[in-house]
Amino acid sequence: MNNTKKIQRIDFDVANEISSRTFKKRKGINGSLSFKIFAYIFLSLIAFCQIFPFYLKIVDSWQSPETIPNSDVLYLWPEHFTLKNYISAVQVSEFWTALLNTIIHTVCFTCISLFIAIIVAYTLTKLEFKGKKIVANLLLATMMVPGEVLMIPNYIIALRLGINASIWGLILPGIVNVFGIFLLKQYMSTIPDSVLESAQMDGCNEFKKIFRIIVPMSKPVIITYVILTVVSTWNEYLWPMIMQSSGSPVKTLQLIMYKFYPGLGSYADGFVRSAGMILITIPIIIVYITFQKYFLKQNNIAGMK
Amino acid sequence: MSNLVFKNVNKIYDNNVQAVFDFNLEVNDKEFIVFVGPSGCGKSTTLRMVAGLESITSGEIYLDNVLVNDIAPVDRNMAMVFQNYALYPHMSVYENLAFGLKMRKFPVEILDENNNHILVVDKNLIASLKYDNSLLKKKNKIALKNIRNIEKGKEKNLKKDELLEGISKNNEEIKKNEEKILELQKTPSTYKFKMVRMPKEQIDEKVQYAAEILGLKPYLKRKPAALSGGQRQRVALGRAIVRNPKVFLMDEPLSNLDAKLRVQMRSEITKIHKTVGATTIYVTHDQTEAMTMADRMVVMKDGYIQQIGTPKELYNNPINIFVAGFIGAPAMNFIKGKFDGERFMIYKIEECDDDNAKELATETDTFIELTPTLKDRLKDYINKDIVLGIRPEDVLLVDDNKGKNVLTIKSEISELLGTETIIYGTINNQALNLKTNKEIDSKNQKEFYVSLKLEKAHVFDIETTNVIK
Repeated sequence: MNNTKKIQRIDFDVANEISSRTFKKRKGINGSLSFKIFAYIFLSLIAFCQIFPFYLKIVDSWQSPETIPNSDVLYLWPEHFTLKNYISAVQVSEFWTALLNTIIHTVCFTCISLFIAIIVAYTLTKLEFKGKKIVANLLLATMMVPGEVLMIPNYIIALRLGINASIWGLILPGIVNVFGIFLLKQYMSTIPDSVLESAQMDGCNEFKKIFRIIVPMSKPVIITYVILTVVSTWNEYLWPMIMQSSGSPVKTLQLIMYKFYPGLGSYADGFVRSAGMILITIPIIIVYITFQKYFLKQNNIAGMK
Repeated sequence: MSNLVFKNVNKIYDNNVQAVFDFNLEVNDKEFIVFVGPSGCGKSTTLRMVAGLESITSGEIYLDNVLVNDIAPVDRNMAMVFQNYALYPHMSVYENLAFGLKMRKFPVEILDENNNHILVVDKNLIASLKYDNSLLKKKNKIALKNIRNIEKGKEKNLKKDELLEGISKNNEEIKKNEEKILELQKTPSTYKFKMVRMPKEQIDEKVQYAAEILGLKPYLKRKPAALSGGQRQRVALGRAIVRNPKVFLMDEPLSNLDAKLRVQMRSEITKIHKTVGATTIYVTHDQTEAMTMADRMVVMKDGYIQQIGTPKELYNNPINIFVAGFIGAPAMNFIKGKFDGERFMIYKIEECDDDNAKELATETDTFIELTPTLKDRLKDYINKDIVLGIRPEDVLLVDDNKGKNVLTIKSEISELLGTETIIYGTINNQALNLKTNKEIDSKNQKEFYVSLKLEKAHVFDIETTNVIK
């Protein structure tokens, strides 16, 4: 068999010369001033679109209840500045119990699911056992199922366990956070085994290895996980509502939002509602601002969903 | 005293790959022993078995006459230095050094009011005897299963009588152990002790001592990320030193450092070994490291020990072609040829046209007159193929080809290393390199006349690759 095809071979000298002449501009684009100006304007516009409605809401919440807003005017500052609306929002019935419930729900859910995620991720990365890959793949497969599909089974489980009437009805279903497990697993697999072996020779058992070596070493990714979980748990609406419909007396802040209508007249009610929404959002903003530098750092390293 | 004994140690991994075959070795107290060999030869596996990080498939390892096979890594009283340092990045240097001491609990004797010993029942010994018994019972179960299989005709490799004998032996031992346990439970035989953590002051003392030896005092508050490679390596060494181990284990500790630092750390480790005086097992693939540091070397290949000896012994009397080629840089020349009773004829080696792996050896008229001692060694090899091994430093340059035993080599490449030159030459297509003090460049001269220092030559059997004595 003689199948010698004629191949057009590349002459490196010529190719290098041409590319050095023609592709010079490519390098310039990133650094050019006009590109920078364009980028800043574009990004500022997007940021403005995100923040401005929020700002309008804040202004709304500062209006005095007697104000009758003129529909032709865009209020960039309240007509008569007051914080009365916040006081009436706080005085809504069950506000404080709902706040307490939400805090318990968020803190417990975050801590327990983090603990589980750390242990499972450690087991999947650093321990050897038969069927490890199968377990990992099964966990991964559960991520393909949309959360809404799980609502009914979870509802039935909660009813059968008899936890639907307590705060545990909110916490326990969905406590195994597969996304969190994989987030941590990704990071832990970058920790070299020899560090753990060294810890073992220093006298650490598996739990000490996890909590004295692995956890401090994966602090950034754990903080990322905490932010994501705190925000999503705080804002959870669907599941608490389903639990409420099963007769649960446990109410979270998101569930009592409809109560921010003290019945003072239509405009005044609107101001109170704005104040209530701002109040509910504040804790999340605080969490986000405190930890955001770690969050941004980690976004690049561990693969995000 | 801390001597380490390996008895028929084997390691088979779960995927049925055998990494270590029948490893036997006795390491003396305060000895610096180096395991050396190419990657994948089982040296690291052996070290990890000593440390307890890898289970031992069969065989025994004794530390001070105590079987350590089933002892947890912490309680073996050994310290390991890893290739990538394995420092804890979230702790400062001080905390890194102190961590091993903080984690461990030490047994301390409890005395009564008059400072007398308190005798109690030895619970640990009883537990270990019970553990032995459980192992023996397991063995018996397996043997019984095998006997049943033999009766069914499934198993053909084992003999029933032997198995029965084994069971009865095991039963006897179990009985003995049980009697011992009963006796121990009745009579208090050991001093009462409790496990305590080391006091902070003592930890501090030890950390300061190690930092002093290693010159780490100015860096104690830094995190490992803020240290250079050499300093990190020293912290890793310090972590081993603070623990006062019976045995130091080092797994290629220098291979992450650059060449200059490596030479410096080499002498530093030797110094530390002298000051601390602990038995050390050092694993490396670098024969220079092994030669310069070792009291004794263990050369390994494919899981087998090739040769054990001092660097000098291994250099002068290698046991086979592998050891001869592995020890010494540049490597020994191996010349294939035939012995005709008087002279050694150098084959001309050509590549086979159809099969690249095969070589064609054709006879030539290049002869070397052998010395009487070599002839004496080779008396069983008349008219047989042999390999002549000669080190590059034993190949001498001569001015002309008039004398006896002068060979002509062709050379394309030479390396000037300051005081000496290495000339990479060939004779009859076989490599023959030489080392000389003269400054010579192969660019100017393509042909060299050489004579061999035959009294330093080695001859090897071409089939077994062993040295002919």
